[in-house]
Amino acid sequence: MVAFDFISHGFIQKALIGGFFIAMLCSTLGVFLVLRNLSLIGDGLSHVTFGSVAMGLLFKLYPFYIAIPIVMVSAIGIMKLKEKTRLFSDTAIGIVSSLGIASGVFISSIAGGLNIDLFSYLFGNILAINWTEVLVSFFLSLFFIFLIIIFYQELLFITFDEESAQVSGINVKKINTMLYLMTALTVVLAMKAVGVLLVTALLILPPVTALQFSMGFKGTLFISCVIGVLSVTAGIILSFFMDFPTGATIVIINFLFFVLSLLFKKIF
Amino acid sequence: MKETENVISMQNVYFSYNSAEVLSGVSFDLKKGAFLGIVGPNGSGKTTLIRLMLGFLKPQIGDIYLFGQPAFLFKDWHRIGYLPQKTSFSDNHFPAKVKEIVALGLLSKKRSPKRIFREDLRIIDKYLDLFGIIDLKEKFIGELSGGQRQRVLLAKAMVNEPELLILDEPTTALDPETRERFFDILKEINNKKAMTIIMITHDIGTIGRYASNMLYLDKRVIFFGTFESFCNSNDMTEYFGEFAQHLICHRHDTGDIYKKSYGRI
Repeated sequence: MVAFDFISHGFIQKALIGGFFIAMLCSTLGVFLVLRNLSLIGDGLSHVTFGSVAMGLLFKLYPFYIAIPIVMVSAIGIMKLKEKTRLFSDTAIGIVSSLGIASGVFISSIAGGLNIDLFSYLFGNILAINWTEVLVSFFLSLFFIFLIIIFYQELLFITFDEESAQVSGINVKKINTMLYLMTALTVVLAMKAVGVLLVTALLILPPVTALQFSMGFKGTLFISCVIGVLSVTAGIILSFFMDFPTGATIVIINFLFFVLSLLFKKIF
Repeated sequence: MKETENVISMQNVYFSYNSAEVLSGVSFDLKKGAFLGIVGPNGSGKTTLIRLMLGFLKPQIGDIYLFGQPAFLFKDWHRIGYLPQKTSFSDNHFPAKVKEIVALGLLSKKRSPKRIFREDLRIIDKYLDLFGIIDLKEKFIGELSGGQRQRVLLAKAMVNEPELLILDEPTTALDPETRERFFDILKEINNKKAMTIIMITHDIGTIGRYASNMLYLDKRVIFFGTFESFCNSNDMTEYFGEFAQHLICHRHDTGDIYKKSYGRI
């Protein structure tokens, strides 16, 4: 009965459906990012998202409309910075990330400090997700999973060794651009679930947990998805009944899965 | 451009990283079926030379042709097998099995969406067997020792049966026995299939025993020709000194192939 009451709330339905697709996106892309030493790209792009949201709020525009193009351009900026200047990934991400957060602070200062709206984007609130955002998550998930299936071998090769992949005639630039843009859009969406400060957790924790099970590449993608979805679902349910902050609960559950996977690995 | 007999042609190539000159006026042609060993001290531009050949870098001056096409515009990647000095894969948790990694070598012949089919698995098994790693095919790449990994990467570079195989220090992680076996396989493929091979190595003895040509590079071409002509060259005696040249020419003497071939030393 309690379960029925819980599920009958419209905002819970939206949160569970939206959270499912957001988790699936983050945990799938995360596998490629973690294995390519790009784990912190989510952090960098979420900081840019913070700056973009501040800009949106300043100009009284829907923050997503501002964030999406800016974060996509920033993702390409990180890629180009790495390519052209031969910087390490973390350095390139660090440059764009600090610029993003500095812009956010600067703009919010002009606007008279951090207001409640901007604060809510810092920590996210998936319970406030609307149907438009649920639909966007759904279609993006389908589209990105379709792209991953089509370009699976290319993504695997580039993840393993970019230079050899290039000599095998794989268009590394095209595949990299696709991966960076998918990450950018996912980060903007995930911001709604867990907020700017915790997006990285959704991108990193499910993949690193899945990697402990040695299940092959496809198996790792699948396990990562399952862990991501379970964490988000359990986080929403637990936060509803216990009155916990949802984003933080999702991240802590993700972390518990990671600890369990380490124990599992040690025992077996 | 029309296909030529030369697999590689370098014409007066100059290359610098910022202001540091790495290659200066490098020219040579390599014919189909040749086995070229590239040697030279650290920082002599060997890896840069390979990266220029593959079109990763563009020379400031000079022209490079790969199968008669400008290297920068080259698209027939199925004709090339490549083993880089370092791979970007570094995570011991990398979740791909040996057979999946070797299968990546077949992608250059496939159109998008690229898929690995059952008949591909037979070719993969053939190369795993050739390198003595068939029993490792279900293992994860991260679980293997350095030598085993190197053999997997070599199988990946060769599984496509390329016309040109480029190897950048391929035997660094191999034990002497595996190294011998690897060079024997290379020589056999070079002879039977006329596969052109370019290999960077610090093991000059290997070149004497296996390669048909030697390129000694030190930012410029110090020597290009056969190992025998290197040993007989007065210019090289002048460049290295008689004693050093004698040492270089005798270092390959651990095997008997060169003795059989040339009946000297």
